[in-house]
Amino acid sequence: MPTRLIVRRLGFLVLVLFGLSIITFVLSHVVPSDPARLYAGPRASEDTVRQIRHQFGLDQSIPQQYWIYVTNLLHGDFGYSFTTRRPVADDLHDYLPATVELTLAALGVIVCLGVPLGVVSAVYRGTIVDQLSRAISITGVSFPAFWLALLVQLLVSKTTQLSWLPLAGRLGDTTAPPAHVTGLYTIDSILAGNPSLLWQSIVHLILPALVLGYGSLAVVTRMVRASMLEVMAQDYIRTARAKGLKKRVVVIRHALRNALLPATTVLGLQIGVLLGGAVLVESIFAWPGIGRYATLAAESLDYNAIMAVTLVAAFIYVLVNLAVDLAYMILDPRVSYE
Amino acid sequence: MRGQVHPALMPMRAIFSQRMAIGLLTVAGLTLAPTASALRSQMAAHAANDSGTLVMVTDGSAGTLDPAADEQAASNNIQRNIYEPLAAARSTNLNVLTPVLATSWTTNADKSVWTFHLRHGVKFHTGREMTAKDVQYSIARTVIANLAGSYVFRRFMPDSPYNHIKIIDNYTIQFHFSQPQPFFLDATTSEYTSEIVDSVEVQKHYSHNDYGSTWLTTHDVGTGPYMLQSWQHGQQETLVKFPQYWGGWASPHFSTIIVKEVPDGATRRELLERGQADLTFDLPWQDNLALQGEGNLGIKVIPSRTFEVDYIQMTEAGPLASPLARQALSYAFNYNAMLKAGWGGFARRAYGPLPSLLLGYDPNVFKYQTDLNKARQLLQQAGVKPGTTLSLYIYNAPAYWPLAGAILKAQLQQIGLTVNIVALNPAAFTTVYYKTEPPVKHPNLLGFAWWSDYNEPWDMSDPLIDSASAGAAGANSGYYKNATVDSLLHASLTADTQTLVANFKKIQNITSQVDPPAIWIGEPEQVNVMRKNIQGFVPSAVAIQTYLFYQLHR
Repeated sequence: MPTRLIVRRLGFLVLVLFGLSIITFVLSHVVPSDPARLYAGPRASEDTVRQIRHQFGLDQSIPQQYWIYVTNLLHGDFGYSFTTRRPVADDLHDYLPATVELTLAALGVIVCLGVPLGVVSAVYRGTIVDQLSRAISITGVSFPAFWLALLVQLLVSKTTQLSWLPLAGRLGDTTAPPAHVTGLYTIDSILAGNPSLLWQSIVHLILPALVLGYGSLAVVTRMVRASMLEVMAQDYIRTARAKGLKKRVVVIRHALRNALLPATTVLGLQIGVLLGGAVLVESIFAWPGIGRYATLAAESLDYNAIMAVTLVAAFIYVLVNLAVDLAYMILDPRVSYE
Repeated sequence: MRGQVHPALMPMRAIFSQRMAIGLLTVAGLTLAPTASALRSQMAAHAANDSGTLVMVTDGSAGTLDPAADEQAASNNIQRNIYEPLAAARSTNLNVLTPVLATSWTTNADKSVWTFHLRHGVKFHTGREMTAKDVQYSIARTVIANLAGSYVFRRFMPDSPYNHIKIIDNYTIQFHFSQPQPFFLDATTSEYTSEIVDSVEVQKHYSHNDYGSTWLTTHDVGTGPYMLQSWQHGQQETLVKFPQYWGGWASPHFSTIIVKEVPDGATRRELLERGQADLTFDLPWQDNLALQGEGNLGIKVIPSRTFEVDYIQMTEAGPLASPLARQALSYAFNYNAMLKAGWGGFARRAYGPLPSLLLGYDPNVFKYQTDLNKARQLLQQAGVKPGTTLSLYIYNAPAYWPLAGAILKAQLQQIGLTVNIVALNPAAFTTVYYKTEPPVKHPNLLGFAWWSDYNEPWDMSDPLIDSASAGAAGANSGYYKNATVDSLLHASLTADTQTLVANFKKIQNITSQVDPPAIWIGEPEQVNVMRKNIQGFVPSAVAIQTYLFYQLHR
């Protein structure tokens, strides 16, 4: 077990979060802005604004405010959101699972479509399949997510056969969400033993996950193709073929496993891209996730919400990188971090 | 099993009682048969009157349900339907007030005492009956709690509101003031802050001297036709009809309202076109025009005029200290370009601080027309040299604000002035707008929008043009100071309607022509987009971006 690696990375995570908290806190607080005025409204009296400033400790010095913030954070208190007017922890509880679910679904699209497409494209290099894969990749990296989202919506709304695909939200308007266990509606509806709710959750995921995953799918497809071509030219693949192994066995068992190593790195990096891309995709598909929440927080300089989103994103990113490193060790036993 | 007795073991008296009961029930059944049939037909009528579910899609989500704590339209849209005021401006005729929780009102000769007679039998969603004590508490609370909406009634009750609100009996409440307050009745129609809450329930939930505001953020203790059923933050609010609503449910109404947050305008339009949403507002004007032209989509576009005025405030300092310089900029702006490209025609010109629907608006007020030669002359007279640079701060969204900035920049460039545009997000912009600082350090120009809480010109304009409202004290971000305007505003505070209108005629003459504090750009319309089968919509000039769902049906 790579215990030392995990401990070291977790220690690194604490340092990253601490450094990030200082940078984000200072940056958001030095911007000349008074969220108390926005919170109070345009017609509120000076007294009211002063009272709100005092209530949220905004009248204290930045170091004092940071000290209070960090102390509270260590007790699991992310503070209060000016935008949603409730504890940030409650917001994270509601919004974060939506983004995690969307990101995982997009990741599913990338892995399930991107990897096979890359493999097929390498195996049938130069054929029509390869050309098609190239076209998909080029469009994937060229189309901005927001444009693609609007295009997909237009296509779906004008095509009668696709009218079953919802354009917005996580569930139908009159459907109550499943009891909150993970916050991921697909998982929670399975736990609740409700297949119709599961179907609704999946159907609502299709368009945003496809749009969000499309750009990264293109990158992963090209990466797998390139790695596969490199691996397929190796001597051990020639030996495997010479031994009379079936083409499928050579490709999947011998070539793909090694070709996946660089693709795994890219996949890890794409998680960050997906989290970033979620901001636009969530807005267009009315997906109530952390991306939309971050946008609102940034518009109203909701310090606590900005801090929470940044720290959570960093936390996820560091953990994903750790998972990628661990995946290397599984994919290639020669890799060691000890 | 305990509780069950074999019939063979039942005593005769019990058997007799049982038979008696069956017999009585049969007779009762026969007797009540017509009643049951009436009930069935009543239920059928009710079903016929139930328009089902209305889905509204909007770009924002409610922040709080506390009617005294928020001025954001997304919150007010929910509050208006679960809470109610004493009276409301719900007719297209703004001079006619509709009794809501009050059935009638009277005032004395000088209008310093107002007596409201409350509706009997009004139930809160909590089940309690509303009395004068709840009205006293609710209005006093908005002032004492010092929340966002406290300014509405503080104008009338600068000291303790309890000194002014007297309970006569359970259904009569009296407000008395030391001087005439002719517009107090109108202030009670401000649906943003004047709603009545269940005082007993709110007082049970005080926390850290917050007057129950934290609890009220997510709880509903109103008397309105709808109750909050669920609130999925960032997704949707679901309201259901309040069966004991005093207004009843005999006429057609929706029984369920879903207000769904869909931030993107294109998605809102698609949902409407697909028939998956019934109502939205303020789509990009290109979409409004497109939908207006598409007759077969089952969608209607209804523009409605409001009390909103959009303007670019000019700071009375530095190059714009002279009224002549501000007149020059008023001549320089290209109003027609703005109406066409900024709002797609869904707007009309503004000519001063009063919107054209508001009481006291003078239709003969001076109207600037774009004239660059005149602007150039006035700048010369004001001593503003060519090459002077002006700073313009505006919101970065919606799109018409950056456009207004670009239009002004292009126009002023033609007469030798440079404009540096700074487009900011709402938090950063409001900080600049409400900053108290020496006027010479303040931006020269700031774009903003304002509207009245009720049909009264002092409420609309005092925060914008009173010198006492400069900087953080109000919304007079241009540090405008005109002694005549100040004195007329002061005199209007307690004036009767005739005097008020006369005073505002003078104020408009000054602020529109002689000494303009702002370039008065336009009055954008609220463009309501709904399915053609939605009926009963009554536009409201004052309750901007909110809907009274009880009026609507399919």
